[in-house]
Amino acid sequence: MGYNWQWDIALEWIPWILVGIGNTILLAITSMVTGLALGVIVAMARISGPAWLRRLTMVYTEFFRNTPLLIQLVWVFYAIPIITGNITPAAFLAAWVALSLNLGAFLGEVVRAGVTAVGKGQWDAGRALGMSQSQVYRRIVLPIATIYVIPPIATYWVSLFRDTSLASVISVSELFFRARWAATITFQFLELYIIVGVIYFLATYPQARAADFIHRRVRLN
Amino acid sequence: MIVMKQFWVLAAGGYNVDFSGVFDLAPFLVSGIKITLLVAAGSFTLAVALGLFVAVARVAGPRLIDQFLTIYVDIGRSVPDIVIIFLTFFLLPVAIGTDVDPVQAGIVALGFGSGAAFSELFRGGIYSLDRGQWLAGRAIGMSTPQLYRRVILPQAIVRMLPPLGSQTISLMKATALVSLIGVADLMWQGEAVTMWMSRRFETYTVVAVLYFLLTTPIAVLFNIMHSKLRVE
Repeated sequence: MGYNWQWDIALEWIPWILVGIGNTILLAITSMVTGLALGVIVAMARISGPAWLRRLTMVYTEFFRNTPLLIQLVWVFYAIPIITGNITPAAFLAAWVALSLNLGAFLGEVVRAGVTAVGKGQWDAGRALGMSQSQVYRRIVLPIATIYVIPPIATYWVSLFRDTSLASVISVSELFFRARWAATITFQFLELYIIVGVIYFLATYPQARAADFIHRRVRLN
Repeated sequence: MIVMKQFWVLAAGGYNVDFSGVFDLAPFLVSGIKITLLVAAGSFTLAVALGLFVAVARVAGPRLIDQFLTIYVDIGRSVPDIVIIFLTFFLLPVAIGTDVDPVQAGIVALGFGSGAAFSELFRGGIYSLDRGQWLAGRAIGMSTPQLYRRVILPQAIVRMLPPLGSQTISLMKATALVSLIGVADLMWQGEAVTMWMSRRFETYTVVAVLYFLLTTPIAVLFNIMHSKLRVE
């Protein structure tokens, strides 16, 4: 089938689309910060919290890990304001909240695995030196666990960077939203989706390689 | 027949939560689940076949093929699923010269995207096996295809079952994205229901719970398979 490629029109839109990378990066960074904080809190609650809190965080973790990010985004954007009686939040805010909640569930498990992976001998050694429980946590367990969790966090960072594209569905003006917008205006769907695919590849691939590098480095030590 | 209707008021916004309408429109959601399962099954089959092929070709094939397939794997893990889905939807008809319906485009796109992730898992599983397995297979006179079919892959797949399970769950969740190109799956039907009668909070909550019920059995299934097949 002969397709009438019109690259000249599509290429003119690249600078306009690239403006969206600001929101893509901002959304990824803010979600990583809050998602990580949430993950640490959830992990702590699941390891040493009271039974009701353990159950609650487990339900949260399982639910956010096993439902699509798309429905979480739509739910936070449309559904939460309805029951809280508020007006619709800014799209970026909703996307940030949804991505943080999603990431918090995954990173909670990562942090939990990291803390549990620290051997019992380390605990005993700390206690034998006369450290209190919180001192052992702060000075021994968390520094070791930090090394364990860095590689998986790098992997989640890469998928978070890609997942920010879903925020386009609730109209956050990031890379993919702008590409869709440009495609709708120009009708050059194929050209513009190829262009945005290339942009994502160029932006994400170096990060994926960096994550591989971190994995190798940590394994060597 | 008694129809159970649940009403309660959420204090914060004084909003009356009412799920009855969603349950009245349940047939739509059920038809959406069927399409979601169809897309998931189709893309899973494609992804596993593609993943196995790519993994074996990269491990056993010549260097040129390995390098070529590395490009595919890197694209698969660097470009978001949503972009691959939209691109496939517009590219596939041009590439094969006939009309393609959204379900087919969605299956091909998700299979292509996840195939890269699956191939990395299979490759990791193949490399994790001891060199002695290859030597033993060779020693009793197996050809390379026999060696892979009878010795390497069965062991690699069992080892890879836990990460394969989470990758399959990711794929099941990613199927929700095909609603964006007009596939009438669970997500799409959920949106249709909200257009009909609003009740967004109730509808999206039910849809989320339904997705949860679709993904959880996958985790259970893979856990059972892993504990049954594992050899220590």
